[in-house]
Amino acid sequence: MTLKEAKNGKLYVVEESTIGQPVKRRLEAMGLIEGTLIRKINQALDGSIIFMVRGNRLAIGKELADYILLREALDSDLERGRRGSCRDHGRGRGHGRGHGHGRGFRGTCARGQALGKMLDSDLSGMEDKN
Amino acid sequence: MLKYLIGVVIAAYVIYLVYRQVKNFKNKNYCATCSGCPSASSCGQFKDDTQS
Amino acid sequence: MIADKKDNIAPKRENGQLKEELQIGFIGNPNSGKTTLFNAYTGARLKVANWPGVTVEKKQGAFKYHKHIYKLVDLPGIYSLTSYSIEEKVSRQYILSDDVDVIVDVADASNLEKNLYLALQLIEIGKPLVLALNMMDVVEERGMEIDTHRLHEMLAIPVIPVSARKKTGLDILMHAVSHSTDMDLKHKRIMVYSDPIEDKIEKLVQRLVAYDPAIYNPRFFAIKLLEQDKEIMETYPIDVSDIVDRSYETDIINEKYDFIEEIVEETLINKQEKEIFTDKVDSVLTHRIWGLPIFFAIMGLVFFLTFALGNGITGILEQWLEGLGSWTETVLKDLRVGPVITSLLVDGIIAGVGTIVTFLPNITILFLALAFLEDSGYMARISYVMNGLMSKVGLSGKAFIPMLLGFGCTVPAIMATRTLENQRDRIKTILITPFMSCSAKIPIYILLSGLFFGKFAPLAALSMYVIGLVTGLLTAYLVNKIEKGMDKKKDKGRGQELNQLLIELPEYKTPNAHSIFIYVWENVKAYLTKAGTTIFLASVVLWFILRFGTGGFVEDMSQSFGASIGRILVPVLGPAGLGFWQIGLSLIAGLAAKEVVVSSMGILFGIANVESALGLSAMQQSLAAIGFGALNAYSMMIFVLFYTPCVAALAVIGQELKSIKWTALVFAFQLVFAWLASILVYQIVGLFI
Repeated sequence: MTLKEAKNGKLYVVEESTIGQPVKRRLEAMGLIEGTLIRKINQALDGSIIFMVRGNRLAIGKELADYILLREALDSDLERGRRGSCRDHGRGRGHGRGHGHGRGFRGTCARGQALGKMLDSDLSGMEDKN
Repeated sequence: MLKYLIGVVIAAYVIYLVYRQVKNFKNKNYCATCSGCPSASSCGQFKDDTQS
Repeated sequence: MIADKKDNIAPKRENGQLKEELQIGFIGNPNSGKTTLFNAYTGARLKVANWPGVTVEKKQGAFKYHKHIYKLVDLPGIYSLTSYSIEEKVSRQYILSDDVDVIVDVADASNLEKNLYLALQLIEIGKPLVLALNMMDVVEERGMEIDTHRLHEMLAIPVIPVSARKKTGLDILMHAVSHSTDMDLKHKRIMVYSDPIEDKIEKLVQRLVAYDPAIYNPRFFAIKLLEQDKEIMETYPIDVSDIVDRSYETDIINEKYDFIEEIVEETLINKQEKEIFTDKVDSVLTHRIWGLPIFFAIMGLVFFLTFALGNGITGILEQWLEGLGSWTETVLKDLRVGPVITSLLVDGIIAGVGTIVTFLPNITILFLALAFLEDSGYMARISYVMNGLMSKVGLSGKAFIPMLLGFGCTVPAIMATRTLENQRDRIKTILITPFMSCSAKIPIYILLSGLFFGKFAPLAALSMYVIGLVTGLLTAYLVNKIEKGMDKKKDKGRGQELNQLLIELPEYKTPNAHSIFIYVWENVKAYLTKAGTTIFLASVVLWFILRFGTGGFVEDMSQSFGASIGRILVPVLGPAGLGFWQIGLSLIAGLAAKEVVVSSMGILFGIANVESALGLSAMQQSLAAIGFGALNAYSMMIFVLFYTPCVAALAVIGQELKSIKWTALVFAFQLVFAWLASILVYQIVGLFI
C-alpha cells in the first residue's frame, strides 16, 4: 500500500521507495530506507504526510509520498531487529581500550527492548486518527 | 568656535558613514548589519546559527 | 578566543606526539553548529575561497594552540559521503588526501541518530577522527543524557562533548585532536556487517590490494564498490561483477542504521518521552483541519502584540525624546552655537534618529515572538501547515519560510530562497517576499495608525500584513496560471518533484532563554546600529535639503530644495491622496531604508516652529493643517506596503536574480503596483466617506 493509505500510529515496513535521485538520497540519509520500520503520524488535507523513521520525524509532500510503498509490520520484522544486531555480541564491537565491555556481557539486547517499547506504545498509546 | 567643532565632527562622521556604505556595497554587504542571514549565504559577516 | 584563555591542560605525550602544525578538517551535518564551532576557534582569521574547480565554498582558518599553529578547514555541511553531490565528493576527496591530519566530526548531540550516520562513514574511511558532540546544552535542556563514555567505547574514537554556543569543551576537543594524529582507525572493526556482506568485503579487499598494494584503506573502498559507488568504481576499475552482483547499498545503509539504533539505545537516555510529547502537541498544531487556522491565529497574535503591547513603552521613550530635544536646544543656545548647528542637531539628527529609536520596543517584541516560535521548534511545522495553501498558488510550503523571514528583514528572506531548487519558484518567491512587510515598515504603520485610527490602530496595522499576504498569494496564483498557459503552448510537462515538500521536524522543546536572548539582542543591536548609521546619514542629508534652498538657509521648509523635489511628485501622487510634497519626499527618502520615511516625517512635521516641542502631538497638528487625514494615512500605508524595498534589498534581489533587467522590472512593477493600489483605495473608499 502507499504511505497515503497507511493508518496513523501503526508500524509498517518500507517496501519500496521509487523516488528519483537526489531526493531519494536525502531521504535515505534521514532514515527512509527500504526495509526500515516506519510509523505514520499525521496527514494533511493536501496529502502531505508526517512520519517517523529511525528516530527522525519527517514531513513530505503528497507526490513524494506516493512513491513510498509500505507493507504491514509483521512480528518477524520486529524479531529480526531484535535478534539481528544482538548476534554480533562476539564480534568485538564496543572496542574498549581493554575495558572488556563486550556487548554480550550486558544481558538483554538493548535493541530488542527498544522495539518492545515501540510496539507497546503502538498498541496502547496511539489512536487511529484517520 | 564650538559650533565649527561640532560641525566638523558631524561632517567627519557623515563622511565615514558614506565611506563605510560604499565599502559594504562593494563587498556585497548590503545589510551592513545582517541580523540573521540564514546559513548557506555569503553575508560577509558570519553570524552564529540561531537554530538549535 | 582559545589561545587567550588560561590553559590549565599541560600537553601530555601519551599515545601521540604533538605535531608542530596540524591540518584539521571540520565536518558535520548542516545545522550541527559546525560553523559556530569553527568560528569559535578561528575568530576573525578566516579565508573564504572555493574548492578547486567547483562552486563549493571552502573556509579556512587558523589558530594557535600551545605554541603550535593549527590550520582548520570547514567542509560543507553534508549528511553522508556518497558521490551524488559535489559537496560530498569534495569532502571525501579532501579527507582521503594528505592535506588533512585529523577530522573533527561535529555532531548535533540532540539529533544523535542522524549525525551518527555520517560518523560511521567517517570511521570507515579510517582517517584519524574525533567526534565533537555539540549542543550538549540543548540535550541537557531537553532532559536527556548521553553516556559519552559508552559512546566512546562503541565507536572507538574520542568523544568530546562541547557547546560551541557556550564555548565549553573547546580546549578538551583540541587536546583530543592533538593526540589523535597517530590513531589507527583503519584496522579497527567498529562497524561490522552481516556475514554474507563481510565475506564479500573480504574478497573485494583481496582484489583491491592485488590491484594496488599501496591502497590506503582497502576495506573502505571495498564497501564502496559493494555499494556501486560511481566515483570509486572509476578510481579502481577492476572487474568485480562476480562479487558485486547487485548494489548492496540499501543493505549496507540498513545495517549501519541498525547499529546506530543500538548505539542510541545504549547511550541516549530519556528520548522516548520527548517523542510522545511532540506527537501530542503536533496532533493539535498540525491538525489536518485546525492546523492552518491555528497558525494564522498565532501569527495574528504575534503582530498584535507587536503593535499593541509595545506602545506603552514607546510612550515613555517619546517623552524622553522630547526632553532630550528641548534640553539639547537649551544647552546649545547657552553655548551660542548658532541656529544652524542647533537645527542640525535637534531638528535633523535627534528628530530623525530619535523617532526611530522610540519604536524599539515594538521591534523587540516582534523578534522575541519570532525567536520563541523558532526555538520551540514550531517554525518547521509552518511549512507543512502552509503547504496546502501554497501548492494551490503553485508554490511549495518551503517557499513560505523566506516569506516568513521577510517579516523580519527582506534581505535574509531573499537569501533564504536559495533553498528552493526550482528556479521558477525562486523567482516567484523573490517577487512576492517584499509584500511581507519587513520590520522597518513597522514604525510607519505604527506612526500612521496611531495618529489617525485611535483604538483601531493595531487593527489598521495588522490589515497591512493580511493584505500583503493575500496579495502575495494572489500574485503567485496569477503568475502560476500564466505559466501553465505558456507551458501548454510549449508542451512542457514539468516534473513537480523538485518542488516537493521535504522537511525535518525537530522535537518540540521549551525555548531556551539564553538563545532567545542572543537572537533578540542581535536584532536589537542591528536595529540600533542601523539607526546610528544609515538613518543618521539619511537624516543629515534630509536636514540639508530641507533647510537649504536657493536662498541659502531657510526657516520655512517649503522653500527648500527638498520641497522642490517633493513637489515633482505631487501631481502623480495626488489621486492617491498623497499629493503633498512632504509625503512625496518622505517616500523617496524611504528608498534608503524604510525607517527613514518616519525619520523624514519626524523632521518635517515634528516641529510647527522652532519653539515648540518635538513630538508626535505636534505632528498630528502639522498633518491636520495640510489636510492629511485618516484616509490619506491608510492610502500611504498601502503605498508603503507595496512599493520598492530599500536599496539594500534591491541590491540583494539584483544579486540573486543575476540580471539588471529583471531587477529593474521588479522595481518598476512594485512602484506601479503601489501607486495603483493606493489610488484604488483612496478613490474607492473615498466614495463611501
